[in-house]
Amino acid sequence: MKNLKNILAVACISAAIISCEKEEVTPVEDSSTPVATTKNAQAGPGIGGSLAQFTIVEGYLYTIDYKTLNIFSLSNPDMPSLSEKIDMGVGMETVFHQDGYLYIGANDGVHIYDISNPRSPMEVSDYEHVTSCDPVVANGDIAVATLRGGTECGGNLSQLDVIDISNIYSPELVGEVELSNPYGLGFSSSNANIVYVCDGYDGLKAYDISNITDPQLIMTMSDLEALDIISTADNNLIVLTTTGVHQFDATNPTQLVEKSVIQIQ
Amino acid sequence: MKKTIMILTVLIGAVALSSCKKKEDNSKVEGWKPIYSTTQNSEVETKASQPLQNPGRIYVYENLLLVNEKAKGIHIYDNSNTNSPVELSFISIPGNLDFSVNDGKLYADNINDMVIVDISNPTAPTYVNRIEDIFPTQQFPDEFGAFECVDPSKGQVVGWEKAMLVNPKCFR
Repeated sequence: MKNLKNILAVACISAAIISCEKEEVTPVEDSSTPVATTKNAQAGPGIGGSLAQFTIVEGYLYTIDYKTLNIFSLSNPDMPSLSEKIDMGVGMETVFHQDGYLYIGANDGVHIYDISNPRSPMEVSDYEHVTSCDPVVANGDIAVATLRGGTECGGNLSQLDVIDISNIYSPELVGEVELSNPYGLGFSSSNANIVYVCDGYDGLKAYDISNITDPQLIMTMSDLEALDIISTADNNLIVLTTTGVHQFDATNPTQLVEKSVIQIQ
Repeated sequence: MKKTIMILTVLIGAVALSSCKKKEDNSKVEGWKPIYSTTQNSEVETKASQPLQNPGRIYVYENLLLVNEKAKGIHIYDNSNTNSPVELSFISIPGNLDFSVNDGKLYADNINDMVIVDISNPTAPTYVNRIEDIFPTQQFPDEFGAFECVDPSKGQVVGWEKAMLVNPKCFR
């Protein structure tokens, strides 16, 4: 929830800044193309999908690869400096940030790091499950992760895990749903009880997790081979699929209205 | 996309097999093949726009939508009208798979290096800097299974693609 508020706040501020800037800039040069301007130097970071391996939190860039968590200070934005390198000893897939914690989706589960001191992240807990590919995202006291099994990722289980993280030191699996071919996932920006899951060839799905022990499938768009998703505060839903990048109006989170597609050519 | 590649591979494989029935090679298995970098590591350049072919990461920065073209670079779209995003530029970054943006600066992997690109004018991104030898090259695919062993003489591995392999010697 805090996260949502932050996103909203950032969005509002940046919207305000952009609108101011446009007034100043438009008359000056090249009015033929009303192009996006990002001249405000204090814009902060953007928003990535759930499969991201790079994330920026308060002036630090965190990157993961198959063996290392790297932390770069961006105090000189033109010349990042490596401030910490942690050998994880396990294959890492994704990194997500919420409220001072990094959630790292790895081959053996979810590792949670306290980054209140960015120069020395501390592992507070790990939530282990079977070997698989697994992006993880969090919203308030709930984290959700997908496990993609099958020969490609080791393990043979494909499912959505709902994890209670109210005690960050002891994450607990509270709900699970079987999936087919999951990749990325994300919370709805308008309703924190709704989780979108990109279930590969089985489509884009939405689950209602109001009852965290018993997630309910409330939407399936089976014509989309969905891979990753970004839900922005203005109810825009960006979905990467095998055919392109789709955008939906998600004002009604289960009645998505397609606005545009950048087609793969 | 992976599925398309797979179907294509299977089709090509089937055609190949049927056209040469006499070939006794039954040891072909589906697996992963390294994609080697053919360009210089340091060639980061801005192009007008490129067709979207093999999208990877997606990213929202202010009113921009950024989409990674796997192992090739990053498309920047003006997304102020979500009904019709318009490509402003393409940053060619060999081997690029991931990136993040902060205060108008884009940080991206470029094989072993990190490159910094200023996108405050998204129609004409400018190269800022490079930090060398910071990322390891992955000598095996993300996915499990058979793969073609890496041959360093062919260049740097920038990614992996599905392929039919003859007698693969490497497994994960």
